[in-house]
Amino acid sequence: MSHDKWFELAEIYATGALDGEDRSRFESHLNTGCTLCREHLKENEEALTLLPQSLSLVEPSPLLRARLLEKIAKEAPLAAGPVPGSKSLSWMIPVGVFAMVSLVFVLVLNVAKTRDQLNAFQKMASAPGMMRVELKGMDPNPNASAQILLSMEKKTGMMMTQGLQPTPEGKIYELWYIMDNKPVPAGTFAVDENGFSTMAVQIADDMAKIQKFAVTLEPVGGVPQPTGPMYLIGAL
Amino acid sequence: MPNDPSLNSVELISRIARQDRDAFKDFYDAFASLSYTFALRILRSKADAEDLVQEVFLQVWRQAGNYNPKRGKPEAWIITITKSRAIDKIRSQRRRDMKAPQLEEAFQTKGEEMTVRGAADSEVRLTVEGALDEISEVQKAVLELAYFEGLTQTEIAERLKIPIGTVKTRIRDGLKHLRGVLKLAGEKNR
Repeated sequence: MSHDKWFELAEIYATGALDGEDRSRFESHLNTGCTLCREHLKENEEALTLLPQSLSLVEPSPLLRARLLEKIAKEAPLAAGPVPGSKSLSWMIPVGVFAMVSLVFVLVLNVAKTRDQLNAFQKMASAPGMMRVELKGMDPNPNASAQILLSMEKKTGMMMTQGLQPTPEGKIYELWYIMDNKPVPAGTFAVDENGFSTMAVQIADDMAKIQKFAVTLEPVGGVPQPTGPMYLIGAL
Repeated sequence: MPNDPSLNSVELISRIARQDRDAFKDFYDAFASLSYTFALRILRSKADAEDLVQEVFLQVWRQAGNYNPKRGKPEAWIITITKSRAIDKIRSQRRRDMKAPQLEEAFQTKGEEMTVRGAADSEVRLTVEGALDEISEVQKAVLELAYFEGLTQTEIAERLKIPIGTVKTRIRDGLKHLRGVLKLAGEKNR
């Protein structure tokens, strides 16, 4: 197919209207790493942002701001990610949520600290009330694996991955939990050059209803429904 | 609100990634209206739009570290997150066959709720608005059905009773115009 044709699909894709076989073909093409199409898609996505920016702005209720600030104050230590532009792909880990094991995790910047994270993870695994879920690598990356530790009481925990392929440009791994046979997004993460990562996990739903956890590769920023290949899966 | 959101907001996101709550407040003040207005346009319900804005900014708080300035401006990031969540919600609502209130109703706000933002924002908006007026109505209708309503090309063709090829052509022509507007806006900002 000529690039004019791919560009045509890229433009429809940018609006979200591309469907059926056209969508599958274009996504497969994007996954080949075509930089021309990726650039063209980005240019069109950016142009489309003019539509919402042209609307007359309406202010949300001041109560929303207050509610949101209260929420982040409560979960402040929960979910810091890597600082944009930093080469480190490690994560700030929850502080306080695991008071029972009195562990404090910090942003790790080098291998030694990664080892510390690993040790901390192992300590957490032996704490009472923790549930462990093993995730196994799927076809794209069969040697990868992950473990999730979750406090049944607090519905918070931590995932550690190893052996995942380094995150490609424009992509990010996304964790899902599956309940009622439907995937629920649970956060995105990148991995370091060794496929290692840790991330905080927080479950918003009834833990008893969770059937599985899975990890897929998705566009940066994450998506509300999985669209990319599955890399890891594990049942409770 | 920061003096120049387009310049300062990348720095704000870096600070949010380090769990800086003051930076989060500034970022919220700069972009909450954009997110809310966009969500309201898609969802047509103030309550749903506010819930969605809360989800969007919680995602910002939790995932600021994933933001890459090379892949787009902060406003584009906010728009992408808002759109993704809102379209997902509207499609889910559509599946449940819920009838949304009329758009006009949703935008009937009390005087104190409608706030005109800073001069720089207004200027950008007016430039864009003026330029968008030049897009033909048929192109705009198709673009809006895709972008704001979350309809696929097949659904748009069915809704408007036109061939799918015509839908594609109108989207492409409309986008070509938008790209021109974007270029124009970029040149004005230099």
